Amino acid sequence: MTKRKKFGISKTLTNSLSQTVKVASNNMGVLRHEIVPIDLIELDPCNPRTFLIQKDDIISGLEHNDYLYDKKRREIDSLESLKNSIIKQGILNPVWIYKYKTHYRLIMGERRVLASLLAGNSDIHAKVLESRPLDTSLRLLQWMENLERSDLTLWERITNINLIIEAQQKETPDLKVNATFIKNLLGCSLPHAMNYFAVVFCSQDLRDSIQGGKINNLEKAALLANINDKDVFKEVYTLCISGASLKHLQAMIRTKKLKSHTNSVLRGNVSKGANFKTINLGFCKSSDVIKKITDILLKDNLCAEHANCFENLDWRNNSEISKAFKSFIAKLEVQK
Amino acid sequence: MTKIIVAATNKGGDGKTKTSILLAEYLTIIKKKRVLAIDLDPQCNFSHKFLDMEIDPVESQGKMPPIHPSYTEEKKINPEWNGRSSIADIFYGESVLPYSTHLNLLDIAPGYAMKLLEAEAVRKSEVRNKVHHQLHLFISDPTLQEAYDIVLIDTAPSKGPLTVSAVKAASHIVIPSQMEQNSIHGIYGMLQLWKQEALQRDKSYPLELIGILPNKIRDVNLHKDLLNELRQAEFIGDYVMEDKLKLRSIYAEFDAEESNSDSIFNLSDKNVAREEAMKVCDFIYKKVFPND
Repeated sequence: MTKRKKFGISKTLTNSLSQTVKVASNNMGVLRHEIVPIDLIELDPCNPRTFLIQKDDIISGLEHNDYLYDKKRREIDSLESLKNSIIKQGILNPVWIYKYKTHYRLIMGERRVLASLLAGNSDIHAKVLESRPLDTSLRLLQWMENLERSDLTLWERITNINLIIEAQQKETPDLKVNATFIKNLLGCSLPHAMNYFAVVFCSQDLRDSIQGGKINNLEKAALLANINDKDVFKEVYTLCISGASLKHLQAMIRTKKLKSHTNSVLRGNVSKGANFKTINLGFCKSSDVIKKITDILLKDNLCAEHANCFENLDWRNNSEISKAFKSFIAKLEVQK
Repeated sequence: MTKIIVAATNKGGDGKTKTSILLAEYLTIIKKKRVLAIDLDPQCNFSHKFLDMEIDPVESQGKMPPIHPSYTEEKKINPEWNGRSSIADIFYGESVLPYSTHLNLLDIAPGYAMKLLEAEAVRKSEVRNKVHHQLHLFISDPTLQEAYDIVLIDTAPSKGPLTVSAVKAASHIVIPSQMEQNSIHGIYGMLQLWKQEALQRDKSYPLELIGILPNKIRDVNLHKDLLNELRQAEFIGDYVMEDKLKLRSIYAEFDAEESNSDSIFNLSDKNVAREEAMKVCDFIYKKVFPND
């Protein structure tokens, strides 16, 4: 009887077929890239990173009577190196856009769009999403994009975080926002997240100062946000906006705290740590001392009632002495 | 919206033209749909099935479309037209005038070997990109969308610019394959093309893989084992069609000159070849028109 021949597809080919189908089925549309006319792209008005210059300022040129002329000029100058890179190498990463009515709205890539216009390009390489991403995703994308920028102000950063938190709270109303949440959200260290947490929820006065650009350093702002004493805040704040370094501000707060602590001690109202609920009678290395104390105690009538705690005790055995004393005190407490 | 079905695989002789012919006949005869057949294969066998193609005197092995029936009238409007219209004209910036066929609801934009070979040979990247998108632009024309329910595209056995242009224009793709080693390698090549396009495609207009159609199946261990193995493989197994086309001489008989006005779907209901073709076409139809 002849043996039946068995045929098969090689494992490599089967795996390759399976992987191809899996990748394609799970990722339909994710690589949709197009060359899009810049005319059709609208900058996102809700992006917390707000450039003063708009596309028209580049297309038509800045007007000298524009009261923001100087600031806009500086912004255009800041795009110079990106413009040169686009002229030489093109856009290295596509901008992200989504379909919005009859045109597109930008998700990420404001600087690339503006610099492309400066480079004389009329279209741009873009990743196209079918619709507006969820608020949380959109804000997170913008956050990631904005993080790349050195000229992002503290106000823009905390506005961005606020928008992300608001978007998350819309999705999950019971959401507890704390430093750990911010840490997980932004993927930063806990101390950094604590600073953001303090500043995002700081007083209105401090927010106004940050918005006005008087304070643009996260650590300094967090330091101020954590001061409870109004007088100390005022003093440190004044020093801060006059340009004092973070170390200087920290030193000042330490001095203030020390001073306040000393005053408390002088007033005799210092109280450190939690209140004890039990009394520690201390430790003793000499059993003779303990025996002496016991003898004195047992002369008292109340204590004498519990003399049996010490009957037949081996006064050389510390463990037995400890147990006997514990038992003696416990009985006295019950008697009381 | 007009559905665009493409039969494609980069291995020759696996059944692209056969699938295209069966679908063209099934959709018009059985389903009464208005169909435009497009032949992107320079061999022009799909065109030849429905049209009396002529031998190109310049290209000895090549075929070219016959003079269009509307030539006399059209010449008055466009005196420079030579009277032959083919789908290849879209790659040369010219318009296409489909031909009617013996099937009432079927029109065909035939191939033109020489012109298609030229378009296929394009290497310069900018021109190649234009070829890639040209067919999509042609099919997106509102007049064409209005005129046809389905566009069927037969492709050349390659992954060249013409096949890429068909895949880019398609809404559905079917991959016919024999259950033999080289053919299965061909499936892999075509799946790569499908993946590349599917990942880039707008989600509102996805490129759907109808499936792998086992073709020319014989009752031999090789075919049975490979088919079983493919069906059991993870992910890809879901795309191997349950029905298959067996190796039958009847398809070649229908292709013979004397038979070109007949169809397998005009055979008796009990004919096994017809029954088999019906099952395959029914399956494809349900995938393309799930709500019908």
